[in-house]
Amino acid sequence: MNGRRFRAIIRDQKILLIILAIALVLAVVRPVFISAENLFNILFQVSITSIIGIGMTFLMIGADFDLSVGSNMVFATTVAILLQGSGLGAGIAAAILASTVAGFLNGVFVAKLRINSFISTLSMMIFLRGLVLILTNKQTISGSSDALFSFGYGNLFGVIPYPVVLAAALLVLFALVLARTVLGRNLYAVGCNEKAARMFGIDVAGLKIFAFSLTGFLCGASGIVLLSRLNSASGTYGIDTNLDVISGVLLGGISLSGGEGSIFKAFQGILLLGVLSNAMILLHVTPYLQQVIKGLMLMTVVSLDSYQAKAAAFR
Amino acid sequence: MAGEALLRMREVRKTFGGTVALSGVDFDLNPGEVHAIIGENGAGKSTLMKILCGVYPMDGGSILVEGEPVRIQLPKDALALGINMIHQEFANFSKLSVAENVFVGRLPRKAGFPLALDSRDLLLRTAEVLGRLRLPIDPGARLDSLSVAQQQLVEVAKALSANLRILIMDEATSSLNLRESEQLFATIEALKVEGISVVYISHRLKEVMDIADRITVLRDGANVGTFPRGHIEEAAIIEAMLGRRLRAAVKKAATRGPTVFSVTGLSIPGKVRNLSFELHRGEILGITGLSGSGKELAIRGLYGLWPSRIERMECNGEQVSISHPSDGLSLGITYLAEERKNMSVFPQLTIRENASVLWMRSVWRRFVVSRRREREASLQSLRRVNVKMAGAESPVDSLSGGNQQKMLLARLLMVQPEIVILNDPTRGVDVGSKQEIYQIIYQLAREGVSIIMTSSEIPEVTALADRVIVMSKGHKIAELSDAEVTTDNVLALVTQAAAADEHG
Ligand SMILES: Nc1ncnc2c1ncn2[C@@H]1O[C@H](COP(=O)(O)OP(=O)(O)OP(=O)(O)O)[C@@H](O)[C@H]1O
Ligand SMILES: [Mg+2]
Repeated sequence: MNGRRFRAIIRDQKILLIILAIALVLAVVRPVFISAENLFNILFQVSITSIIGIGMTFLMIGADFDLSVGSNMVFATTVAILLQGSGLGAGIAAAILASTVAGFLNGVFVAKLRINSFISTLSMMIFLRGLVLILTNKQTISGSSDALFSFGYGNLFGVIPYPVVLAAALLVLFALVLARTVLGRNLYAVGCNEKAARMFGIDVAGLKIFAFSLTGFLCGASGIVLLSRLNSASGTYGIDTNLDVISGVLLGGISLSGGEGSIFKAFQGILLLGVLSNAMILLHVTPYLQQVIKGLMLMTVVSLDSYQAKAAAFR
Repeated sequence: MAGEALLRMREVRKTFGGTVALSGVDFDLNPGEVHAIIGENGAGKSTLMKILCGVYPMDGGSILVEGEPVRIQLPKDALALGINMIHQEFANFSKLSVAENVFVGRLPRKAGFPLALDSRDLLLRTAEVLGRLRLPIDPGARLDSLSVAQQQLVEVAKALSANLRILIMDEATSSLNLRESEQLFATIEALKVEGISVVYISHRLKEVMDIADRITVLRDGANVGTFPRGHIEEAAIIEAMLGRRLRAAVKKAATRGPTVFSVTGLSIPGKVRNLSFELHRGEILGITGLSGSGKELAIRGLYGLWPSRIERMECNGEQVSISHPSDGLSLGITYLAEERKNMSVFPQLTIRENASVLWMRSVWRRFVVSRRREREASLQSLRRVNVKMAGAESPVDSLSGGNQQKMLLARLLMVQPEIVILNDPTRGVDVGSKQEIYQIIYQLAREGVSIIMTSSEIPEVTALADRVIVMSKGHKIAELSDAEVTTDNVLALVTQAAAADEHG
């Protein structure tokens, strides 16, 4: 009985256990790891990926995904900088709107024109990256806004970085949307069996367009967070963001085949990547080796998931 | 209006390309009636019901509900009229809960906060519907944690939770065992009491005679008669269906050649314990038992389709092992899977391509496959099992269910196997074709092919097999041969074993 409980915990909470294990080891060999400063630093590092990860989770539960999130985020940063002349608020609003429209278009391609999400978002990724390179003229362009700086570098109660607060608020809000609203639950049905969902009167296309637009909107929000810290934009930013977000969400056990998962799980996966990166930096692991380790981690966890699913099927 | 039919279908016609599926069919349904439709494979039963459900448009004819003409063009038109069909293929959500499946597309919302899901109400209402059908199923359970039979009953609950007036069940019991079927019949009775009409399509005449108030027989896309219960005998119904007397397959004389295959100590933890047997050349060996006896798992384990441990396996005197179906194929052993939809049919391919997949394997070394030879080989095989089709180049879904089953047999025959494993070989096949399939199996055995088979129906095993292994709770409890092979003997053995279990 106890053995079974124990195994169930290992199965369902393996990401948290891995995070804990890394933290324990690091606390011993690099005590600085558990300083409040470093912990909030980790949370700050993952805030951007988790904001976009919310959208990716919605998409993957509906059995889609989006490769254009990195480009779309930098696109928002670029638009905000270029339009800052007409006021900070207007620049931000325009940037988020532009990203949302890009997401909406992805949704239309996938849901209305029935183009596979790999192809449509790959095209969008290339298109937006090119647009950013044109708009920035292949330079690094900078903004100038103290108001944004005080967001990017400010702390709530003097300790919690504002970007972390924003990410936490969005995570909680959309976790509720996914788990507790009819819209969220219908998305699970779509991911599980799209044809049947359509037959039972669920607005499949509408839900997909919503999920893509939401992802675009969140890319826009992340673009602003990025701006508030870096105060600049360039065609070379956000190249790894796609893979970080997708691999984080996959680590959280949300499968590409749809119908399963939660925001909380996705966040765990993204947090694991953040903790792992931070640990490796503290341990002076070279950047290339870091990539190798991240890749191995993803492969191991996903293989474990699929092994456990198979074992459960043979029960 | 007393006596008014709930539904009238008049002169319904439908053709697919050159095939006439329905040539002016009339069909009536009274309130609270269980009306069975029977007929040969390809007679048009499913097509008639799919038209009623808005899956296919009809080419001509009319549909009246309570005397009013209605237009049914899309599934949602049928749903709005309270017409529901239990789909077996694609209509459920395996990763969601029972409750979410029952109320899919109609999830209850919180009063005053319409975006929010009212999950308490969802569970309560699901429990209420399940209660109406007396189904002991947990509304919160994930659908894929239930048995196939329970999933099907959830489908009934789903239909009932909407405004259900007509429920259509197309071969609902073909994958259920006896006890599960009985639960389904009890559920149908519960529906009748609520005044809901049921259209029941099945090839199991016995159960049709038991539960139907009226029976309509279709033959070649025409209604050849509607009979009230008790006014017709089974033999007469079969004659109406086939247009001729049923010709029973002539059982082959039991023979016992040399041993070609043997298994020692097959075990599957918790399911099968230490099963051993030998198979002789030209022999038909049946494995039978009640559901849960492990007969099906044993067969799957044997062919590398389920993790199992086997102490020793011999084929033609040499020690071999099968850890994957391809090992079996290399040894000349082919396998007919129990499930067509997920395990055997490639829906995007043509009939010819479906039939020749195993054959391809045997010729792949030649690198270039001759199209002509493939056509000839597959046509020959398809003809041998008498598949009713417009042409081998049609898509495989254009075959009726029973003809798909025959196509799968043709697939096995194309590679000239030495040993054939048949798991439920006549699922969804009509009584006439059943005898044809039996004839094919006997013929194979006469030609020296050895056969291992099981079936969800015990009489089928005893009808076919020369020798029968009877299993109970994972153990082999008896082996019957020749004259001992009778359904009565098997049933006596399994009930004895079950009783012994209860007492100690
Ligand atoms: N989608 C389709 N395209 C082409 N032909 C079809 C299609 N569906 C059915 N048919 C043909 O229509 C005829 C009637 O098929 P139907 O599926 O209604 O038979 P059935 O009575 O349900 O048989 P079974 O007992 O085998 O399920 C058959 O000849 C079949 O080949
Ligand atoms: Mg049919």
